[in-house]
Amino acid sequence: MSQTIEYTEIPVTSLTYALKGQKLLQQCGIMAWAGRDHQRTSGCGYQLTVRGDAEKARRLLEQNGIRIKQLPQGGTGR
Amino acid sequence: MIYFDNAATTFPKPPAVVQAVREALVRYGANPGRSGHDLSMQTAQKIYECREKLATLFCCQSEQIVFTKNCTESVNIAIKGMLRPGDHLIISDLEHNAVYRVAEALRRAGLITYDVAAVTASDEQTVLNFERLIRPNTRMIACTHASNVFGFRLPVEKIGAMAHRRGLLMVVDAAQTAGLLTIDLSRMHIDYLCMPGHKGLYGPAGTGVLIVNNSLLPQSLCQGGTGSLSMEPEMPDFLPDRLESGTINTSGIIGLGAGVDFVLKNTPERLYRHEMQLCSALYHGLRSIRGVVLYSNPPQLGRNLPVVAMNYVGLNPERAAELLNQHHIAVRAGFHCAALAHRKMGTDREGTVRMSLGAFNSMDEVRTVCKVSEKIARIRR
Repeated sequence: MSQTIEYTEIPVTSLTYALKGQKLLQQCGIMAWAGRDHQRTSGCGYQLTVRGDAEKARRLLEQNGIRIKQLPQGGTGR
Repeated sequence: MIYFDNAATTFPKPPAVVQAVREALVRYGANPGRSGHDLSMQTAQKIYECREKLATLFCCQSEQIVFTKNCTESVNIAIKGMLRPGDHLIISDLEHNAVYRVAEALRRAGLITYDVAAVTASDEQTVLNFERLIRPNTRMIACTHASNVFGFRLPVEKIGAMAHRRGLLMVVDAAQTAGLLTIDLSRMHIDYLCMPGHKGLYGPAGTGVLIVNNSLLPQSLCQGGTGSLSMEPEMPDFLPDRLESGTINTSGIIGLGAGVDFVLKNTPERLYRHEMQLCSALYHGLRSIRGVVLYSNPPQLGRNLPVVAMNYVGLNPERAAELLNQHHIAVRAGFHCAALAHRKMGTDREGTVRMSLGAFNSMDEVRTVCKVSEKIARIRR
C-alpha cells in the first residue's frame, strides 16, 4: 500500500517572507517550497508548500517573525 | 589610469561583480516577484540572497532591506516618507545635497522647518549642538555618517542615542561609509539607513538600499505594482513591498550581491585599514609639497574616511582636475554636491579637488599622484 504524503499550503504576506520561510524550514529539516498562492482573493501572493508537520512549520515561521497571511485550511494533497 | 574618485563611485568593480551582472542578464532574465514559473522564482531567489547578504553585513533582517535606485532615493523616502506637515528636522552642516535639498524643498513647500547643527572636532560638543536645536515639534535628525568632501566622520551612534532618548527618529546617510565602516543596526541607534550600492558595496550604478529599522514605515513616494495584494487599492503595509513598486533592477541587484560578497570576504575593517594606509601616505606626500593646500588634519583611523580635500595654490580646482586628467589621474573637483560643507570650510568660492581611495588602489599609485602634484604645483609657483 502506498502512503499518502500530506502537503500544506501556508500563505505568507510577501515573496521575501516566502523565500525566507523556505530557507528557515529547510534548515529545520522540513521540506518547503516557495511559490505562487493561487487561492488568494485579494490578488497576487505567495505561499509555502510544506511537506509533513504543518503545525511545527507554522510555529517556526511565527517564531521567526514571518508573517502568515491566513491559517491553512489543513492538508491539501496534490 | 589612476582612479582616485572612489567617493563618486568605486572603480574598478571586483571581477565577480562583472560576472554576476553578466550571469543575471543571461540566466536570470525573468521578473522576480511577479510570476510563479521556475525562471521567475530562480531570479527571485537571487534577489533574496542579496537581501540576506546585506542583512548579514548590517545586522538586521532580510525583509528590512529595501532596494532603491541610489542613496538619494533612499534619503528621499526616509525623510519625505516620515515627516508630517508642521514637523521640525535637524541636519548637520556637512550634509550632501541629498539631505540638504530635501530639507530645503520641504521647507519651501511650507511643510516643515529645519535647523543646521554644527559638527565640531569634539563628539560631545557635536551631540550637544544637535540637542540644543530640538524643539517641541522636532521629529527627526537626518545626518551624514561622514562628509563626502572632507572625510570627517560624525558620531552618529551618539547622535542617534540622544535622538532616541529625546523620542526622535534618526536617519543616517551612509553614502560614503556603507561597506567601509562597521554599521551594526542591532546596536546603533539608527531608524533609517540610506546607502548607495555602487560605492563601498562595489555593486553596479543604479543600485541603492534603504534599511528600515523601525516599526514606523515610511509612506511610499512611488505607488504601483508590487506583485502582492494586487486587488487592494493601497500599497502593502509590509516590507519590502511597501517601498518597492515596479520592477526592480534585477541585474544590478544580483551584481550588488556579488559586491557585498566582496565586502563580507574582505571585511569593512580590512578594506578601511588598507584605504586609510594609502590615504595617510597620500596626505603626507601632498603636505610636503609647497603650493598644495590641505583642508583637514592628518587622517586618523576612526575619525576620517580615505578622502583628501586639497587645492593647488593659484589654480582653480576644475583646472587642476583637468591637469591631473592629462596625467591619467581621475579625481573630482568643484563643490561635490555639498554646499553646506563647502560653506562651513570656507571653500565655497572655488571648491576643492577631492582624491578618494578605494580597495583597488596601491601605494605605487599614491607615489605617482604625489609626483604629478609636485609637478603641477611647481608650474604654478
